[in-house]
Amino acid sequence: MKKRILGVLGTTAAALLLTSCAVQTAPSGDSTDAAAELKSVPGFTLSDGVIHVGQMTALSGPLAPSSNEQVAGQQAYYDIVNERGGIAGKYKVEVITADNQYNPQLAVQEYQRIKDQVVMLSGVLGDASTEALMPILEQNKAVALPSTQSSRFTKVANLGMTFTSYQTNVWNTLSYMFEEGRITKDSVVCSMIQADQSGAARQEALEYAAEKLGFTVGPKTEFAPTDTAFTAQVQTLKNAKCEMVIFGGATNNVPNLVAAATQLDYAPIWESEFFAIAQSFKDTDIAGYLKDHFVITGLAGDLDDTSIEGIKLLTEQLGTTPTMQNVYGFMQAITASTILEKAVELGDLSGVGLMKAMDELDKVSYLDLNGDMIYGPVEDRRQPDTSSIFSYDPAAPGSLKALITKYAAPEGRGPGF
Amino acid sequence: MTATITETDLSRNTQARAPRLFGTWTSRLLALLFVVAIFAIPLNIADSYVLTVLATAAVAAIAATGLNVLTGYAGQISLGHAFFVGAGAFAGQVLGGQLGLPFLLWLPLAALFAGALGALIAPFALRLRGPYLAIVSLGLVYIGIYAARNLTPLTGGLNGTVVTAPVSIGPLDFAALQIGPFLLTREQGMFILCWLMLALVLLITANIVRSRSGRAMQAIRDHDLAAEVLGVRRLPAMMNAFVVSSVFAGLAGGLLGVLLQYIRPENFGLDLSIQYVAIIVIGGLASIWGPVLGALFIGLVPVLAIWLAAYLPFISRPGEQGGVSVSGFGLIVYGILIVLFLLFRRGGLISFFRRPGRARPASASAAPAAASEPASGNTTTHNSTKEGPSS
Repeated sequence: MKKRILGVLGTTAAALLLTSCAVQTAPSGDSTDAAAELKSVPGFTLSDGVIHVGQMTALSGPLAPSSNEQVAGQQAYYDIVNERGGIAGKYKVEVITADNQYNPQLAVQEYQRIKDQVVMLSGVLGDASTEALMPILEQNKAVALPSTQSSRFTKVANLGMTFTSYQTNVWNTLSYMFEEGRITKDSVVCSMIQADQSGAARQEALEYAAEKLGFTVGPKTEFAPTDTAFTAQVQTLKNAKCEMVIFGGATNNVPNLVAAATQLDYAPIWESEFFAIAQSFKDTDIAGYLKDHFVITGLAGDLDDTSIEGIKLLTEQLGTTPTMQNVYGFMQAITASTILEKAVELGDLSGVGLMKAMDELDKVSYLDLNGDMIYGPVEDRRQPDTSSIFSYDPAAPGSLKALITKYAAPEGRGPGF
Repeated sequence: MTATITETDLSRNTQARAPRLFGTWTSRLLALLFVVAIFAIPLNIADSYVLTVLATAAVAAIAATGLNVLTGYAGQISLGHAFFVGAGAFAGQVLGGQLGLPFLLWLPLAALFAGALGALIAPFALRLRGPYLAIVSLGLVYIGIYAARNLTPLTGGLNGTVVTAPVSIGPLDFAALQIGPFLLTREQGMFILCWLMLALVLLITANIVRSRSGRAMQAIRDHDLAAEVLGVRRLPAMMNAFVVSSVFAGLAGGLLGVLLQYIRPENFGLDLSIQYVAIIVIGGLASIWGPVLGALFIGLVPVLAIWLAAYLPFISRPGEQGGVSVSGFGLIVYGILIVLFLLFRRGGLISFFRRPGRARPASASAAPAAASEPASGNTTTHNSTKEGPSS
């Protein structure tokens, strides 16, 4: 009996080996140019008329609440597009989500899971996940829109950017603070940044701003994302009498930073990105420190300011005041929809077609939420040159009160920003 | 521990004979089937997700096999295995990606690099035992992450690095494999490569286990004092286990790098070490196939969770707050199954495949000490509480 079972197993294995039904034959060498007529591709079936896009984000783990807000923001814009008939008035958009848990290894696996179900990834959370996916995207000639501000992805043909770069946000903020007289030529401005490319980008902007505005650059202190003790860095900044500090951390770093600064009785102006600010801080002891000493860069303006077209539409769609993460997702969906519109117009929703669409697009506009993202040939692409600058206000929606919206440094854009 | 020895043993030559590697037709046929499946599965499954999950499981099984040599066969608990996997991964990229060495050079060298690190560390680490060794080895993980973050030219620092090391042997490029008229995708090629390497590692492990050195490890594990009285030297035996374990970990790291094509220091943290411990415990300690079953189990639970999620009402929809995410559900399933296994099947998954007559109940104290008693004619029996499954 056992021998019979083993025999059957062996025969089955040999048969599977011989049938080889999941391989493709080598190309004969003939190739034809893609027709201008729209064809079915993975993620889009012409007969269904539904375009599927993938959203890879952290649906579980500590980032899940903000990631879900981002997904909701994306969905809100696709709902608007679908209510208007869809892409090119006839193709509805559906989102397929993938959970990378902010882990690049999982990002690769999750991409493999959904890649044949979607025409593109309309969001990838995490620079590391984007880095991890880049070789596969290149091999598959596929397109993704990273949910990041890192300018190092701007000139990559497979990637479509949406947001203002870290450099531009730092440069605009320093220019604005100079304009407002909160820093002067006599000021010392320092940095407390992650020892990675995002930190390097901020430092680059700081040094550029110092050269343009004439202030002095103080010590650069670094940390790792998982660090929890910042006393040494804060002491260094205090000793150097830094009046303003460019802070490159995220939400999880902020309470420890404030604790260290408070213990050392140090209160400079801290500049950070909006994702360093959690709504939940408003009910904590650190809220007062944040209110007095933080300026924050972000998108749009006050989140209840419905004079901004994008905020108005998003509010109507969500039925409530949006969060900054909603805005973030909403803007990415605008980028994705604009690229899809162009690809449909060109008659090709494949990865190659989407890359061609990005090449032929002039720009993507964001319903007054931010400046335009310049598309076109990959070497000409530029992230928006505007930033919205906020103070921390626990009473305001999202705890963010706009100091100025869509601000661009009057001295002009920085090199390579 | 007392032992009763039969007349058969007494009449045998005093030098113990190594058990045969493929002692039965069944084992030979299963081994053949395994090799055939390595080619048959990717040739018949085009789903790149499934292939990637399975290839990742093979790499995890290689690393876990290394840990199994140290923990299962030599009885030493280590939580620092991710350190050696990371060392192999970054060494692989430096050797293959930066220096451009061919696959047949960079992969063995990456494994040897990890092995050399193991040889450096072992004399110090092995002065400790049990939980003390576990804690010391845990420190390795943090040292490794710190070093990798700060060796930016080699590792990319916090940003990590794209892995460009080649995976071709002469004209045979596993990233774009072509067999006759058939073109294989990268995932199909990497599946074949990773599972072939796993087969090789299993073969080597089976040989090590039945060798003099392997039996010395097991003797030390089962009763170090008795083994030393009989002439087995503890430190060299444990050193061997540590170095072999590190070499396999380095090999797995090199393969993980080319499989993922992107690595960064945080990939090789404590989570990964614990995952390897979970793999060998779930699969079955001190068994050749245990790490393979454990790695498949851990790799496939998320797939099961995704499949089940469609039928469960409490799974939250993306974009909504509340409920349990699919990944969270996967973790719950994973946790429940681990608890169930440890409560009711301490021999691990491998115990399902053992003949009832040979399967032995596990005891609470025996997990790391699960012996691999040779099956071929050795009738030495123990009255200790230690489990004695054979591989």
